[in-house]
Amino acid sequence: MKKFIAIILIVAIAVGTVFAGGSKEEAADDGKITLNLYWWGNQIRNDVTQKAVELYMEQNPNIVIRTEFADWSGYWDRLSATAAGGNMPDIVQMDYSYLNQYQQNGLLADLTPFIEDGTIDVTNVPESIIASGSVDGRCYALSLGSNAPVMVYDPAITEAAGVTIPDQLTFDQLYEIGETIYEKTGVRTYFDGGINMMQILARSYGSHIFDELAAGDETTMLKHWTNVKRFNDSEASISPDLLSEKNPDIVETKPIVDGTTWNDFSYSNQFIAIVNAAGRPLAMSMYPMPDDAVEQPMFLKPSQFFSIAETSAHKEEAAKFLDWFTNSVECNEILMAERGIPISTAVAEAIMPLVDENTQAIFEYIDAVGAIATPIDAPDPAGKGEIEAIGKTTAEDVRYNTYTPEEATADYVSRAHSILQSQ
Amino acid sequence: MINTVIYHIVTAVFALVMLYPLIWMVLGSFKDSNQILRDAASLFPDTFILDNYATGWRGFAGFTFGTFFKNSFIIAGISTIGAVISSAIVAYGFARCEFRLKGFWFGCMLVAMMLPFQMIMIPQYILFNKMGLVGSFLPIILPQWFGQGFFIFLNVQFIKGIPIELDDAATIDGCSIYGIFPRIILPLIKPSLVTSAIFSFMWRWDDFMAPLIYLNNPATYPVSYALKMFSDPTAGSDWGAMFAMATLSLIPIFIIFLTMQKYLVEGIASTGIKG
Amino acid sequence: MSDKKKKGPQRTVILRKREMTLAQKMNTQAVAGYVFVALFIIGFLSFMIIPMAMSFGFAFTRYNILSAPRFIGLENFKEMFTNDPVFWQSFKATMYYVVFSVPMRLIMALVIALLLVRKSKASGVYRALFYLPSIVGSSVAVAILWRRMFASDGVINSMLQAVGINCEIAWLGRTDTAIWTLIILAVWQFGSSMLIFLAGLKQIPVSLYEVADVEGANPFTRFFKITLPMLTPTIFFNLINQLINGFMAFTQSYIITQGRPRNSTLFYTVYMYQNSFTYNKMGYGCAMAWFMIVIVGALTLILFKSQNKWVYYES
Repeated sequence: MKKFIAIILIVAIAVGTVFAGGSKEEAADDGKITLNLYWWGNQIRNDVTQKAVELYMEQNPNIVIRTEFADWSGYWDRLSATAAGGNMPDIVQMDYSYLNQYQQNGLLADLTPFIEDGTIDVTNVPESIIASGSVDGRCYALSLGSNAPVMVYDPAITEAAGVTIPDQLTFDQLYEIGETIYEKTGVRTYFDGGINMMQILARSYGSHIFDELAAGDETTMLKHWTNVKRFNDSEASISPDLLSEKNPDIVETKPIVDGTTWNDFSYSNQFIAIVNAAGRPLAMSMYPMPDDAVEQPMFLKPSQFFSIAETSAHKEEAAKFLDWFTNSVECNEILMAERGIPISTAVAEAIMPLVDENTQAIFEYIDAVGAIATPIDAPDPAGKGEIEAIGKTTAEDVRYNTYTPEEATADYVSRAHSILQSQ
Repeated sequence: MINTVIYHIVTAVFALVMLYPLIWMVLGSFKDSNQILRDAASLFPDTFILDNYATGWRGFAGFTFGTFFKNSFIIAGISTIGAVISSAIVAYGFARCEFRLKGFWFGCMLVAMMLPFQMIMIPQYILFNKMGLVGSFLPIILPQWFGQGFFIFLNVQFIKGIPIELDDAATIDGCSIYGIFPRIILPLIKPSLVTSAIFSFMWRWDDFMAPLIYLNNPATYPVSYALKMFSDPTAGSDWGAMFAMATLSLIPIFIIFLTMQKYLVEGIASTGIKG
Repeated sequence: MSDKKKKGPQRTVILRKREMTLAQKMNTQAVAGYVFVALFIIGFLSFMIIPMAMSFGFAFTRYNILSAPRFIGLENFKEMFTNDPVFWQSFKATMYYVVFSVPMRLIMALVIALLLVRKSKASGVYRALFYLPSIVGSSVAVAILWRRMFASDGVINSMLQAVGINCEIAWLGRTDTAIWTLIILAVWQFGSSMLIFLAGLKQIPVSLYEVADVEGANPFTRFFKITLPMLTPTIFFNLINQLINGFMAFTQSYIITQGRPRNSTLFYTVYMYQNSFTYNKMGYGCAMAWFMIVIVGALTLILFKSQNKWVYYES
């Protein structure tokens, strides 16, 4: 019994400490403004962002920035919980696919006034980049870096097969090159059956995938599933079960990493991660397009944004921080383009000579895409997550020969259509 | 004699097969990140490196794994003490007393066990937020102090296995219901208390969902949650560091298990009670 | 619960003893029961009942977490049962997983527990070794590990090749084998059930075995006449618990296979989670959750009702 009482006492003391630990935050910083900053990322991003934040607090002694970070999927779970609880952090990292939902539900502050009065200086930022974070002409999210769809390939393998990869392939070229490479080296080809390829395909004909799906239009989708089928049936392509085993959705398990395939599809900000995982030099080419394309489908996409919560009590101070994050060379020397190529051309120029060769390759790639890019599609509709997931299983259905391209098209379009209708 | 030898050989070989994946994981923590993913079949590192442990321990944004381990110990430790004590008390009520609505409350407990945490996470967040507890350990620890379905149920089953004659004898000796619990029952359900403690500690140690939702300061993150942050589907992951820290994070649960499991050996069998 | 039989006499006891002192009243089961269970009831009422009621209410709404829920009646259930092929795929995958993993895991746990119950220095070590796989839980590290083990160039295939089976199966890439990698993972982590069986075995009074020895019972009689009946409360507990756990299994599917290929490993809870958080259909997710509770609850109730047929309680 004595032991029991002793344990209870220890616990009581421990609980007391926890309480004390939990409630000490605000008391100390009298007269200072506290901003909460929340992002997702890995070790490198967490470290550099924290360093930048510390520099900012040093330069602005009246501001205290409390940082929070999480992994990608946890980030969105918690952010929705805070939104439901009415205590969203002041500054949140935002993704293109979530922008619409958070904006539509009135959770994001309108940044346009801060841009107009110069609190956020955008003189060196291309208009299209501000537009990419805008809904109905008002800016709700400030891009942190530019990104573009990319086909990554292994130059050692293409060289060994005696082929050269131009800046941008057509589907037919990709098909033929794939066959040649398989013949010469035994390495297989991967063809992206996912939402990015659908987007690119629709854009090649001057259309937008979500417009088509919302209208129940099957034109692009039929072409897409026919392509998926065509590549899947090629001897040179990776087999569906091996593809499913490798799982190209995760950087480190992409089939290019262990040399099962010579190419893969991704976004340019993943290039470094893919190269690191593969442990050998890789190169970039633009997404392929159909031979009868009427328009250049390539586009620049914000890798991620910072947004300010509508519930924030310190929007002005938060906007000042965003300005600094965007325009300060000093800040970006710490960040080193980890979130993508800085959107301020002045900052990008200043950083360029400092970064490693892989990041430089991305700089060059983004430059090349920027020169030919057409404007990005409107922010994804709320049903995108589910439509993308159904797309993945439909791609498997085509690859495992459960569906003909026609069946896949009919099924996919009708399901996507009803999802978009119900939003 | 031959029986014993066969017993040991069979068990040992089987144990080794069981352990292969684990050994792979531990050795993986000494491999180069790339080797972990590319050479699936090789067990031993090409070159034996300790870098993963150094990089991993460094943690995130200036908070090392020292901080995360400390937080995990506080969360798992206090939760476990609470869950074990409260669940035993509640279990005694369910197992030995007849009272109104008993079936109803027991049913509530079972339903609560069947509802995935993700489905009540949002409402519970709103609730704790209204109470002003978000940001502290309390939303994670506090519910553990009011009995956990799994452990209540486990203890109920064990208490029901104790002969009722023992209670009757104690009552005749003038012991009240409240006296029977600590004097007769508690010593006899040691195996289930120990089992509860092992599980509770492990589950709180591994749980990242509650910390993810309720904690908002990296200084308070536990190991389970911090481990997730080595991987980012878009920006790339450091598997080596994650394997290293995942390996380290197994040590405390394993030590708890080792120290606790010896109490499992002495059950009712060694307390000398004749049924 | 077996309180029905006893309700009658219990009430009369209360009536007859109206004149009892407070101390005496406190010592009746009716009061003491509530005193002991109070902790649970308080906790349930303060932390659980509101969130549970809310999630039940959400089941009848369209709710995206970010804005207020909108009542839509039984629409979610209608959609679930009539218009959502993925719902049924996930239901089937989970059923398959439960039907195979639960019995296999329990039998494995029981057999090993019986092997390890004997008192020897080594059995402590073995217990630890067999329990080790369970402590790794289902972290991301396990996900990688499992994917690599069952890779087409992984150790499982190498082992099969070593014994002469020329096997190049992509275990994770086939709809008929992928789910088995998850079942094997569940069976591999039988440690927690084993521990509970061990605790149960330790609770069997030695005296029973002593009596059996005097009567000259052989090991089989000992096992079937003493060990097994005495262990039924533990078996019952493990069965209920594994059943609930089986249906609630989440992480394995979520981090190892993400439902691939073709939703053959998409667990019910994963699809529920995706709906709630990824697809912003919290209302639909809640409807799924409560449908699962009905199914698991019914199964649990049947098992509870069957108790007096096969579970042996001392008291």
